[in-house]
Amino acid sequence: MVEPVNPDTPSVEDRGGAPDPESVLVVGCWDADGRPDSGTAGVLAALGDLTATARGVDLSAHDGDPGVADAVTALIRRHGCSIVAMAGGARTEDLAARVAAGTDGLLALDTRAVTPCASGVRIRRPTFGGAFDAEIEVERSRVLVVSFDPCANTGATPTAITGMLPVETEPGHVRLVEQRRDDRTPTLGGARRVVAGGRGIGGPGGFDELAALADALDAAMAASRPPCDAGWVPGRLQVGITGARIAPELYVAVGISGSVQHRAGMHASRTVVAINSDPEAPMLHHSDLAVVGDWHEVVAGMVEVLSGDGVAPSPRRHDRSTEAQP
Amino acid sequence: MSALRVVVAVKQVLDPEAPPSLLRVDPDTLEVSGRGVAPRLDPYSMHALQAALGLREQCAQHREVEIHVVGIGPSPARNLYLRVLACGADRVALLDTTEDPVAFGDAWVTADRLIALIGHVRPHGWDLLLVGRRAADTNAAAVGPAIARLLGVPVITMAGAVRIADSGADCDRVVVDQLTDSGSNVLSAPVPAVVSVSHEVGDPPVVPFSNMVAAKKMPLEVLTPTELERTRVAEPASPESRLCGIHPRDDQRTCELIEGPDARDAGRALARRIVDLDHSRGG
Repeated sequence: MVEPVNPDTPSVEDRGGAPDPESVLVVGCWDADGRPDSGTAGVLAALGDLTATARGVDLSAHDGDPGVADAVTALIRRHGCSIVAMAGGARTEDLAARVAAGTDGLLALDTRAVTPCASGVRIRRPTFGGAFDAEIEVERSRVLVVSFDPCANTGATPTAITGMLPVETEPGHVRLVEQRRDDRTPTLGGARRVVAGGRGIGGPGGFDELAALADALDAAMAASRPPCDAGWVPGRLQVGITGARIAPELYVAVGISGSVQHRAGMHASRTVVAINSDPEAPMLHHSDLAVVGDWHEVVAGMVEVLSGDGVAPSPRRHDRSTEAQP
Repeated sequence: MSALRVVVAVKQVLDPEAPPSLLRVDPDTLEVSGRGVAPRLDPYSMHALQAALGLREQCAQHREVEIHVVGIGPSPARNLYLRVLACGADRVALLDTTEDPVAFGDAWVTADRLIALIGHVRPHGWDLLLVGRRAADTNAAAVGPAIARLLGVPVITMAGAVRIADSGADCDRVVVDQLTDSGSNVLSAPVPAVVSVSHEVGDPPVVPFSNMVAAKKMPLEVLTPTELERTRVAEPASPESRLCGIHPRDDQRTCELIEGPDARDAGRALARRIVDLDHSRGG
């Protein structure tokens, strides 16, 4: 469902090369009925009033095509867009950076808010591993490419875009040799509670033990990168800057040191609990509750109390027998 | 066969693992500093170094790999770069910007200065420029693609693995496993090319002390912007954008440490706290 762009719109050349300050482009995915996927809907909600003149580019048919960045760059130049917005994720981390470079523009990853101001727009995005938010004023005379933090839920209703622009890719210097899909498609998004294990769990057997805690809390299982890379658990359990980015009510991190890459995936959790034998583990600085000690013992004590207390009345809903064995 | 010429760009930052409570923002300059926080080389740029070392291993039997490391920033800490030499880099060249700093987050000026520095170190060209996926302070990923754009070369980001495919006399291609949300895409590009490297490539090795001693005799050069003809009166980031605030996150967590006579007892106490929290929220 691609509507042609109005041919009377002044071109970039007519405007002397500067982007049109009113022009916004949303790069995302829509289904055949024109409904945006959840990431794209989040972008539309976050943009708020800025979507009044926004047009869209649908990436659905271009998965894995390395020519998309150049094609989107060409569209931005032709139509003079001054703000280009997309949902955060591995794919857009690449696309946003390359499009910002291609348009001589400014890049803002993991943006939490974009608000109009006198000179243009103000954006707010995390820096120093999330310790500080940077606030940056950007004039609309420069292309600004933003990816939105998928966990920064503004609660606003997404508004519709005014039309779609077609993407036409061409073969370039970068070639796709092979697409590899493993089971890393994140499925943790809807879990209210999550129990995650790290390198400190020691092996697949340790994760079986951790499952008892997940059972008792009625929580989904997750992991940091090392257990997934080592094959102790399936890749789709991975939480981090690559992998799932989630914001559950409760996140229990067991034997996870708490690298910046991991925290990028769970920093928005409501309550963070850390269990680690290392009192210097960074995870402890980024948690609300913590125990320093042998996780086998700590978890055993937790399961005692939780099983007796009936916190989790519902039966185990995470059927591990269907998981692919590493 | 001619040597493979690899350049690695590294960045010196405040220790990203330092507790946020030790960091302070200067209200006038918006500069972030840390009392007692040591400088470190940005973790992703160390993964870029490891990717270079991996290429050397890959080519070990038939081809030399030259690894030149560059970096720009204020107050370079010499011992950090000695470690880079001790790991296996052949040469380090730094641009000390103490007197003429780049504004925080200004990727285009950073790219321009790095290009000048790389041109100084490799005046006859290079094959691969490896950078880290993100910088630990700005959390941005802009400089690698900006350099590629300015030089008109391809860029592949988010590399989980990097190798070289020899496909002919003057036609090397770099082959990269690029991370995606659902696995990886294997991409190839002709050199020269820029590749940004992710943590999946692994860490550089821990080096024995004897390597550190030997590193002191290796080339480590520090240049000033004047020497590189890249001076610029210190100015805010390009006039179309302005950093107007650096705010500590409101949601910094203050950790409540649960203790007990033993670990199991602490676990019981922790579970009770979690249940209390849950009940108080009507969960």
